[in-house]
Amino acid sequence: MSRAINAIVRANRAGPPENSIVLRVAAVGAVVVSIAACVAEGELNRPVAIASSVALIAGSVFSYRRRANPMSWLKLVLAVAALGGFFWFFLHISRHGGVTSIADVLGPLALLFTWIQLTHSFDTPSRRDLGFTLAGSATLMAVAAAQAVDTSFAFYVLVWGCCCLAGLMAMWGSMAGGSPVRVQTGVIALLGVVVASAVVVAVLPAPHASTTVIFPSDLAGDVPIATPNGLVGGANGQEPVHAATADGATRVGGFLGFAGPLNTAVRGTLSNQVVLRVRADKPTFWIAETFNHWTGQSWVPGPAPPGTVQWQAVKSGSPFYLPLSAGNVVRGSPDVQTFYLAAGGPNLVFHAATATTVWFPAQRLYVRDDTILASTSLGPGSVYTVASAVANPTKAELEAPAPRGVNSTLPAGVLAQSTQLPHPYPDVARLARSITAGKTTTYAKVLALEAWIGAHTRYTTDIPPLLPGQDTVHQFLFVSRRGYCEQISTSLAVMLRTLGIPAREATGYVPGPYNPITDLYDVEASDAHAWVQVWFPGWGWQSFDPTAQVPLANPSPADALAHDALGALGQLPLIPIGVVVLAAGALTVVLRRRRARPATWTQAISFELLEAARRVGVVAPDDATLSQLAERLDTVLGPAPPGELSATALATAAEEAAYGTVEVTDSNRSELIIAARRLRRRARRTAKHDVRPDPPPGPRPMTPRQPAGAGRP
Amino acid sequence: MRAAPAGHRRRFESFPLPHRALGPVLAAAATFAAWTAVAHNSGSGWVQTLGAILAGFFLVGLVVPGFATRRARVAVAWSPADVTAGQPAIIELTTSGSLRVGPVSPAGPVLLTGAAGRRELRIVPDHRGVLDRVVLDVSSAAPFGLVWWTKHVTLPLAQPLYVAPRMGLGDPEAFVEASQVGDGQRRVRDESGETSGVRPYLPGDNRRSVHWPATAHAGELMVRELEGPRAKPVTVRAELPSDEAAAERVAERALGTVAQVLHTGAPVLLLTNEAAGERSGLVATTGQAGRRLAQAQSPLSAFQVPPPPGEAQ
Repeated sequence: MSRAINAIVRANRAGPPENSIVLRVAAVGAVVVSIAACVAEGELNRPVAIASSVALIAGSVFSYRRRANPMSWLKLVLAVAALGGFFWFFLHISRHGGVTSIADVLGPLALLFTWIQLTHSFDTPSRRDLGFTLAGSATLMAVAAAQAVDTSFAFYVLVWGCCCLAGLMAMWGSMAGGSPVRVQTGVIALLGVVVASAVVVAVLPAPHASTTVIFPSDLAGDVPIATPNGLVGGANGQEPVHAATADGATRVGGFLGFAGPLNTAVRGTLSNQVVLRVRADKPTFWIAETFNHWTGQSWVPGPAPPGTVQWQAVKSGSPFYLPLSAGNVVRGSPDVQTFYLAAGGPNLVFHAATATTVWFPAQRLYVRDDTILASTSLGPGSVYTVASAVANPTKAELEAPAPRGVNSTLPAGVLAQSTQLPHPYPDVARLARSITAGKTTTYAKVLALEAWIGAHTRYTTDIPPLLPGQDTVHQFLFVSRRGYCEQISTSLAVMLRTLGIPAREATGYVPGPYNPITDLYDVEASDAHAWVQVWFPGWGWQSFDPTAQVPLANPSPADALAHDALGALGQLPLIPIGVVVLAAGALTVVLRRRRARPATWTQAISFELLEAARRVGVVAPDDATLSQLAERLDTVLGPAPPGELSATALATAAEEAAYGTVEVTDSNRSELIIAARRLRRRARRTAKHDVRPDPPPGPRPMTPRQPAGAGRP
Repeated sequence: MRAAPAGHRRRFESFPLPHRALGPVLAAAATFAAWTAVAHNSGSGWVQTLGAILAGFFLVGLVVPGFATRRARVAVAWSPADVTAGQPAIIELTTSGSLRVGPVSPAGPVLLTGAAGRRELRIVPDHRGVLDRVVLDVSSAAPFGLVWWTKHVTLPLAQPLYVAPRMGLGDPEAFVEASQVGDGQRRVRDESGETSGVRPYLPGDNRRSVHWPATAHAGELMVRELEGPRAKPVTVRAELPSDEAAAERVAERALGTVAQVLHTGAPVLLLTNEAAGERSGLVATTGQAGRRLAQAQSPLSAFQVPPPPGEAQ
């Protein structure tokens, strides 16, 4: 017992006072940045954050000034204050009916951690205390990160990471005897951290939303809509939808597929704005609406089958357990998706495949087939979660005979709806039969038709709107053979219907690019899409996309990083960059050569004599003068040839110019340097023809004192 | 710690290993595992990314010191020639960066170098002998100070370091031949001999010894120093036993005896046994005697030099 108490006392004993101001500033900076991150994510309000930051800085200054004489009673007061914070936290949680969503915890948690950092800041005399401050800032950042869904959070992470880097390096500098932190070391360490972090991100499996205990849902300033099952949208998610115009403006995200009827005659203009972010186990189509009734130019919901209502209200409140619509089947693995709306959109509840449960903070939802309608508008910041049954049948399973039992056949009313045509389409039926000749199964027929469309039509949005009365399918298959996803998918659906196969049109979004940092699919407005759903006995409605090959494989973080990196690399202007790099390299070489050049002519002569001595292996003591070296050199090289100077003569000239009063003209300097270069070449020739033994171990070749005070060459 | 043959005077480095790393590694692993589990199950990508950044800091902080230690260079720039056992000797090191240098053999206080350059390292040999190298622990925790990596470095000294034994109590009866012990052998300065030099006057000097020409020249009282008749040297025989500890004690007492005899003004002829065999020679100072005793060894003990760690015998 006493050993344990001693250990606790030892662990709490104040360490030596920490004098590094860089470490203190970095630690406080890390905490302030994490507080700012919590403000940005809505977990702390601004006044609290400002007051906390100011108090934190004041506490740190106080602690720095008292670092040599920490007050023991203050430690006790701060400990009580910290415990009070914990007490408040648990009281707050229990008073508010416990934890029902992540948002219930994160706000108080951010406040608690801020309070602990604040109290701790008044007692950070030693290095260990400042290390705790840095570690504490990481937990505060984690609280903020739990709510972050977009890449703007990277700014806070970057600044916080730099603070941590500076703090840790200052900590090391202080540990190693107070040496200053070198910028070069910091850059290398930063690169190391970045590379190691990227490797860890790539190696770790992506987070799973399906194991989430508390499914997030939130409405950000949304209002109930006037018509209970009406469709609204627009910039703030509250404007009523109106008919599409030629430029595609529908007030519902710019996509005609969210406008009630889907007018295939007009193509909307879609931007690259991120409209929603989705956290899901695997990418799939995010379904918004399904359409059964084809009019020749538009898809509309159509009348409800006899004995059913068009919109079924689900009033259970969140979570909503959705009724299974006719033809659907709950089969396959459960998949949970959380949708974070980044822009105002339609009040459609997006989902994957067959939605079974929806966590949505409203009193009711409306369901029709696979279309789910919210009773409130959905503005930016709204969050909801959907659990779906996603069946991924294999080719063999889809081609297998229909099992007897549940969902082996479609109800007559639904079958009639899903094979409805406004007119017989004899030419389309003839074409479909010719394409699928010999194909016995529905699946084979679908694939054959998809293949034919892929081979004989072209995707383009650059086509004029269809004239009123023109049939989209006839125009696409027999006239233009050019069109966009609504026309392509409609053509497949109609061809299937002419063969008696139940098919319907679905609209929504393709998964969008996967962000490995946020683990979210960033869905842009231009990801809006239309595709076909075909009914299979025992499997229900299965999606087919005749327009394009949509990537359905779940990208790993490593793949996503590599893809993003290669994509970014491919977009770089390589030629200008190459030119700049080459120019910088050439400049570096020139500067290095200039820097290596002797500064004065006497140094140039010294350099040449040294080089000559090195060539022939002349060794002289460290304290030898240039003349002494030259004498030894002359001994080895022998008398100078006519017209050349001996090493001694050169050394004497340099020394007299440097230390004496002899004035040397510019021309003489040049001649001397040329003579020194000749001497070096002579030494090289001598060394080449005279194999000498290695110089004996001992004093290094001398470095003569450089004559100073002489002019430049 | 004996005189080493020339072949051993070279540098040796062990591979760096983390020092007391279990705690930081376990803490990092536990933090990372908990963080990953929370991030993974909460489905928050940013939390996971933040955890990955922390893991990056941990990885760099735990692994990079190994490379920094491997690259660290330490060399002895200067070392003294003499020191007494138990007393610190200061050697000058050149270091390549921020390092922690701890003397292992002989021991000494840890040095934090701060930055590259020349630093003074204290070593405290605890027994006599001749050192031609030091074994150091060179550590680095760069760049974050999370964990120290350490390597053993054996560095040759700039010159052999003679570690004299501690000054023990003199025991002339044990070390000096019986015929030379006693007051009859005391040698005192003779005041009637030849002048050997002059020195400043000190209280107690005979006034007749004042050398006036030198006083006039120096401006202060100078006295003659006279050379006494050459005395017969006193032989001190330092025979060391084979037991290391006992030999140390004997050497200490022998040195004390030499000092005692020298104090009487008599020259000392020191007899020792060294690696090359028995050696006798006059010693004029305790420093010379210390050097001799540093090299002395038992005639019974075989001369052995422990090889540096990791080096083949």
